[in-house]
Amino acid sequence: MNDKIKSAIFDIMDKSSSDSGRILIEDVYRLLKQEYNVDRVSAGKAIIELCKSGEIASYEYYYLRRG
Amino acid sequence: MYGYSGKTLRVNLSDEKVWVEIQDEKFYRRYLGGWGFIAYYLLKESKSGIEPLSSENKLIIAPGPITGIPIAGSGRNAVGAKSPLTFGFGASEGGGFFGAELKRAGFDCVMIDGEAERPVYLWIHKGEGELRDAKHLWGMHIADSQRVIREELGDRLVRTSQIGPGGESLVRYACVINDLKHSAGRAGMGAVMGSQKLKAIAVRGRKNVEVADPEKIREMAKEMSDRMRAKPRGPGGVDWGLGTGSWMTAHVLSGNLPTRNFRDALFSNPEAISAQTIRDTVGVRVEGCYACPRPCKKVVKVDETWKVDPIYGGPEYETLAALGSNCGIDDLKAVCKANELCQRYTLDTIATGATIAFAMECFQNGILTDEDTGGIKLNFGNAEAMVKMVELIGERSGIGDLLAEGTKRAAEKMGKGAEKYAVHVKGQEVPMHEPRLKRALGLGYAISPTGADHVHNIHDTGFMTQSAWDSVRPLGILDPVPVEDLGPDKVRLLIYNVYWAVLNNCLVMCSMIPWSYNQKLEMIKAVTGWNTTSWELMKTSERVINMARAFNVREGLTAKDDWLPDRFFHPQTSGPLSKVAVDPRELEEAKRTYYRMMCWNEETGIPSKGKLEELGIGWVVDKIHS
Repeated sequence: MNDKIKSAIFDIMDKSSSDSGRILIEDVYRLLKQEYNVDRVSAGKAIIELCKSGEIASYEYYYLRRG
Repeated sequence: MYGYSGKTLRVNLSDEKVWVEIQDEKFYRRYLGGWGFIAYYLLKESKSGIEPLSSENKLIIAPGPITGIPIAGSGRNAVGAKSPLTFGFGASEGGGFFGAELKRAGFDCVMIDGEAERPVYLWIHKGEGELRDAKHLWGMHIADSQRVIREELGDRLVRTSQIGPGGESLVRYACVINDLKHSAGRAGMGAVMGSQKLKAIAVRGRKNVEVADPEKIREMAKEMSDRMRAKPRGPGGVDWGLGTGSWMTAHVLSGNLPTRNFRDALFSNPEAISAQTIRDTVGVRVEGCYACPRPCKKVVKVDETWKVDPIYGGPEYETLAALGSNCGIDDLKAVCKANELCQRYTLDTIATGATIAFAMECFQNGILTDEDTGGIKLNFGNAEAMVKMVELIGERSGIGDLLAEGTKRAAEKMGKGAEKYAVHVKGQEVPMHEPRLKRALGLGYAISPTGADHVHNIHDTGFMTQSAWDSVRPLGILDPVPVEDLGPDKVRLLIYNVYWAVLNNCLVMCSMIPWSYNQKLEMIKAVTGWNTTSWELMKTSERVINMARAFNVREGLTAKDDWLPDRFFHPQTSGPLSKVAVDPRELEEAKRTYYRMMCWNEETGIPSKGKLEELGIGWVVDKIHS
């Protein structure tokens, strides 16, 4: 996986997650494009990889949080 | 009478007779429309034990009281018959403009018997129907046949409901398509139409449907229009206007996105086949159905590699998953091409994708070989092979002839253990939602009278927020039930959801418009002028569910048929559901609970005499109780 995309995802999750530590998946995509110009398809692949490795996890269906 | 014309158009294709039958208000109030009419006519008029693809079947085109009213969600109609997939109750619903046009042409229902000697189409206008020669249309893809029909009739505003070569060649899961893009996809209704040699129904209406309280309808239409435009975001923060297919990553991460024939999980490239990527790449616009303030139907165009004609619209979630992830494919343009071919041939995209995925797993396991496939390497992930398969199925050519039978029958013919890869309920392929995650949905799949269906069902994961639970408080569901639960409280929630979904299929309304229960009640009152209640509407839905059940009992389906395919009793190979499977004992217990709650026999699932009498359909008793 591209390390730049991985660190961008973590950066966004750390900056923009709610107090409960969750963030809408859709917001992750929006901010990745807006702040890092990462396209949705590449970002999607990276999110799946990070979930496989347990570094992030699905939460209440539409959200992500740190694993 | 308001909301109805009182007229059913009757057609006997064998005798080439067309006539109008009058129904009274009591009939409408008792059966409402859509599924209600289908269940009524199938039980009353079709003989028991008939072959679905024969002249003895009945094809029923049924809008509902709301169809054709200028209000969001009113552009749909149901299509029903004895299903060639399940040999039981067959019904499916499609959107677009055809249903509304049929109501505006003065008919509440069209009921078609018999088999034409040569291909025909039915032309409905000015309060009457007329059969016209369709020999020259037979074999045409539906955009071509619609163009010729409109030229012949000299009216470019004629609306059509048609079959393509897939229906003509009796692909068991062929569908009926309104206005080239809007499929009544499920249950094989296109094959029934093909067996009748009925190529199309063309309709032109010029009268508004009269309603009891037009001011109330205008007010409600405006309120919903303002609301949908003001709140463009749906669940998960996605844009409403993208239509379905917007939550691909969420589906993957929860284990809900079917991957390689429901076997695997963690599809590695979910956004390659998402609605957002369609918007950003091949999407040219979104279109809406009749009177809809918030269009959501994708239209795509591809010029290179796979040439995709935008006239056939674009793929929805079910299609993206069935022909995409479930076949292990992340090539969006190939999926768009396969979708276009399904529209051209009029094939149900769910069943087509599911059947190809089944064939891919059989190929992987040596049950199908190069010799069977004509040298095509039918591996998961082979986009070219997937597209070729759609074409072969539509033409019933080569291995496509076998796959055109659907997974159940193809597996029976293939033998060698292929049955365990056939993911169907009662012969109908399972839609793209995961019962190992959504337990009550799985029970809904098992018990549905049409075979597995995701619309008249529940989605357990839709009940993860307080607002979702608040929405069902008016039904008396006061305490949340966990997603993974399948106890009596969840079964009750499923039943109440099915009641409302089947009511929707009687009205026949779009389930994507967020009308509340009370708003629907108000709408029905304003359209019909009836002093009705939610109680009466729930009873109507319960009546129709029992009639559909009774039809299946009469046709020989049993409690054994209310079951899930083997795949779901094993975990996915990876991901969040890699240690989770449906527990057969839990499913059996939940099924019995469902039967008890419905007043059906706990062992056989047969509706009790008392229940049928309580629902005012004592005439059904003799059909199932000797």
